Amino acid sequence: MKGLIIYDIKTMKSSRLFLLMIFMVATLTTVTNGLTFSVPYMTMFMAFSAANTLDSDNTMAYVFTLPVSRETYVKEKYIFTMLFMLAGSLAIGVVSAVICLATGGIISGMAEFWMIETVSLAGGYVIIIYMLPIIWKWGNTNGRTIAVLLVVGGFFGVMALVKSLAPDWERQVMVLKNAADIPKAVPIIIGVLAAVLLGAVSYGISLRIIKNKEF
Amino acid sequence: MVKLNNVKKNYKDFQLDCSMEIKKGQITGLVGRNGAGKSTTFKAMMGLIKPDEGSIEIFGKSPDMLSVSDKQKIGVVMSDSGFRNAHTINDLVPALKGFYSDFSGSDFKEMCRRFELPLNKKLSEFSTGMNRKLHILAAISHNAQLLILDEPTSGLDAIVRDEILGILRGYMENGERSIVISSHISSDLERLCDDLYMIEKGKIILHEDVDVILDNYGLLKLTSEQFERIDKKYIIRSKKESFGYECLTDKMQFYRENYPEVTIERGNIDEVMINLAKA
Repeated sequence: MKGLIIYDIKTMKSSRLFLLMIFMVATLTTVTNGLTFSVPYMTMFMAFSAANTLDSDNTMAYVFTLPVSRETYVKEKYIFTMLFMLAGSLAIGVVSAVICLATGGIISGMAEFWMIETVSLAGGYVIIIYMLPIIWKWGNTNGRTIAVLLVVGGFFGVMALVKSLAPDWERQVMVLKNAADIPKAVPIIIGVLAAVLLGAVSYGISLRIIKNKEF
Repeated sequence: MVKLNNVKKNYKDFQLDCSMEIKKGQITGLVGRNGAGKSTTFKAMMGLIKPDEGSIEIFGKSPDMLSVSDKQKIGVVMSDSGFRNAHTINDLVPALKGFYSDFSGSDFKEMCRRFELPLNKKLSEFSTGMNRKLHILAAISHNAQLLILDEPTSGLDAIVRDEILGILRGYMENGERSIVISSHISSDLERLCDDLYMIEKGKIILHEDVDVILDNYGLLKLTSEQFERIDKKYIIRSKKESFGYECLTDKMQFYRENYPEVTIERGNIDEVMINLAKA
């Protein structure tokens, strides 16, 4: 795995101009829209970019002739993209916070900072586990289009289904939200479990795609 | 070192159906025209495609069972795939160190300098020839026991090709290594290989020692009258020409001894391949 990680780091290093651009955009959006806008959006953009700078079929075939198993390849890509997003998000967070303070913006404290980071990283995590199997299945260009179509189609499909099955769903959600007897830890635990479960499903699908991939 | 036993792979408009063996200490060539199945055969060897039937063994194991340490003993050059273009050679050195336990960065850089490959230029700015050289140098940089080289000399000029062939000969000096190489430049294979497979439409149509091809195969140039009276039992293919007939034989000596009046040209891989492909 060591060789692959170095190989990916070097690939990312070659996109340093692009990364610099992300930081510049983060700076501008922090000044104009504040921390709560810049960090989540830039983190998710970074996650999307990391998932999209994977090998094309053309370079992947060669990677599999190197001393790398297909299982290791998939594992490394999940770990690398997650770590890249984490590092990127924290860096953007710190830079944005400094800019926010320097330009007279308001941050109530570290709790707010970590809250924004948590939400941002959760969004980035979802993007990565969603994008990786799609890109491996359909390639970078087609994968991006299919991913967007699936999100849009899925959103409207689910909304239509919910509305037809439970027309008063908004009221029910509010009731659930305001229920006094639900401890605050419950939604967090459910969220973490759902993230782990979805991550495992995504990893399993990716592994199957890569193991069966022919070149 | 490598065995392909009745390997079959079916595509919509193509079927690979071949058996091959690459022996220790030998350079084995695979020759065939474009689309004949050379790259498909190599991809099957490397586990990049799964055969529908038959079996493949590398170091006695199926390609998908090769461990990381087994793969460290293999060096590969592919005709249509390689390192990511965003890298420079200086970027690749630490990555290759991470991949291969027996890789020496300083030796690799020295070789790159010798072949005039810039260390700090992105691979996207490399010419085809430079890219080929880089991949060959990477394949031989980690003391591999087996080299699988798909069209490694394509796009290279004669001088560089000669240098590359020299490197490959030097690589074989310890007698424990093997190379399987494909090329459409048959003169390269004639100069380099011990053993040769010819592939056409996915099937192996000839397997011979290169020396046997060069010594025994020949083209008979016959008048119509000569063609009528010669013994045709060693004629593989005959073709009507303006002067009479051109015939491929794998027993050139037989015709030399029995028909001294017949013009016989010594065979070369191109002639043999063209004639066998059309036979």
